[in-house]
Amino acid sequence: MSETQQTEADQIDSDASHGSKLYLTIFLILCVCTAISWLVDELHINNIMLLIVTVLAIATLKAGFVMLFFMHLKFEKNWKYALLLPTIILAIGLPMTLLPDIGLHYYTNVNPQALMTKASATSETATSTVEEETSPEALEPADGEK
Amino acid sequence: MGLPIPNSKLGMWLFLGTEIMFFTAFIGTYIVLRIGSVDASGRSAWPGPEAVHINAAAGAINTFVLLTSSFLVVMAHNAMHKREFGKARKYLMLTFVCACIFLGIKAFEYQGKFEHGILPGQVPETAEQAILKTTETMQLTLNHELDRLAPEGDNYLEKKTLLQTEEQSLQAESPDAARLKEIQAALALNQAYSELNEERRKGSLNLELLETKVDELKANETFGGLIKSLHVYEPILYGNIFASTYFIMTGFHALHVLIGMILFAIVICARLNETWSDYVENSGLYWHFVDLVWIFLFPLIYLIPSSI
Repeated sequence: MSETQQTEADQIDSDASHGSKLYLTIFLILCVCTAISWLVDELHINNIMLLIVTVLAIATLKAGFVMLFFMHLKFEKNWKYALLLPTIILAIGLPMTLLPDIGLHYYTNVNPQALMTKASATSETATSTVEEETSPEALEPADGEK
Repeated sequence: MGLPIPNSKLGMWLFLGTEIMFFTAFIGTYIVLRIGSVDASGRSAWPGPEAVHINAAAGAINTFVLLTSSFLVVMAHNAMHKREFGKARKYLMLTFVCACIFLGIKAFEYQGKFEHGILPGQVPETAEQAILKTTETMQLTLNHELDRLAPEGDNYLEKKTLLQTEEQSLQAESPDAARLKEIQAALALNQAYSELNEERRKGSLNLELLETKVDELKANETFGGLIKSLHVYEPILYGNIFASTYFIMTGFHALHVLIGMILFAIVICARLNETWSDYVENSGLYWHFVDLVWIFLFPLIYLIPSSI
């Protein structure tokens, strides 16, 4: 009984710290973030890496705001770490482990489509592409650069 | 002892933990395949937004819609705590409307993809595949027309023979009949298709040549009207892997939106009182997670350009 009273007290306590005003502020920040990432895309900047880092950083920031305030994680007790850290670490680890093996060597530099055209080359355009793609010059540099 | 939260909330958080892994599998696969999809020079050959009909504005609007709905859900939860049940119901109904708008825009985007044939396994990736798909589309139109004119024939050859005999008898009996014109158009189209397909088999077609030929066929007086919508397909390298990853990510996300709508529909229809407070909080947590997934899908699919 005292425990439920305790949790109720906690809830009322935390209610005071996050009211509708706070939610509205967070919502406006999120909207501004979305607008910024869309504008960054519209600018068509040449530095692609910068663009990728910017839009993903903004996405992470937005996700952080949603989780901390809308999902109340900021106001939760320490159980949140025990529950969420393992899956988040695995979630980040999964693509990272797949990347070097599959992502960077996914059919090397000759894609299966190009090889298929070699087998049944019928049109002029396709034949020339195959020659370019399977010529020793085209295959060499990837290994040579590393 | 135990955690200082209701069991239902713990259950929802555990479920969301599994959901993180669920979506990471798809998003991770997408990132890995996208980085690996290169051309012969090692540069990214991922299809551009124009080729696969990706509209950043639609994605941005959908992000805004979901953020708004997330805000409304948290306001509903707030109102439940203050025992303002009428207000809470209003917020939840607005959330439901937002979900409908989101799915509406999504459906519009899907419709565009379906129309342009951006579907897994349907996208021609090389010039040959594009040429083949174009002639196959023409064959489909032809077969449809033959079916309409000679439904009694069992197969293509039989239908053709039936129409040829009918043409001869009609020419003798009533040369002005409308059906005669239709049959002649279908037979002429059949002839044109056979010639085009023969050229394709011999390998003397390329995309530019096919383009002019299709334009000529469409301008033909006899059967041009039958193939008005025929066009030469553009080859899109890696278009199929794009379609697979796109549809699995956005499809499962849309399914989650649908399930969220059901959760909200239940509470909107109920007589709200304080016993619903936990339900609203938990379905709210679920809804925020759906929003979170979209927050990452939006830059990954819509914003990052193809020319990495």
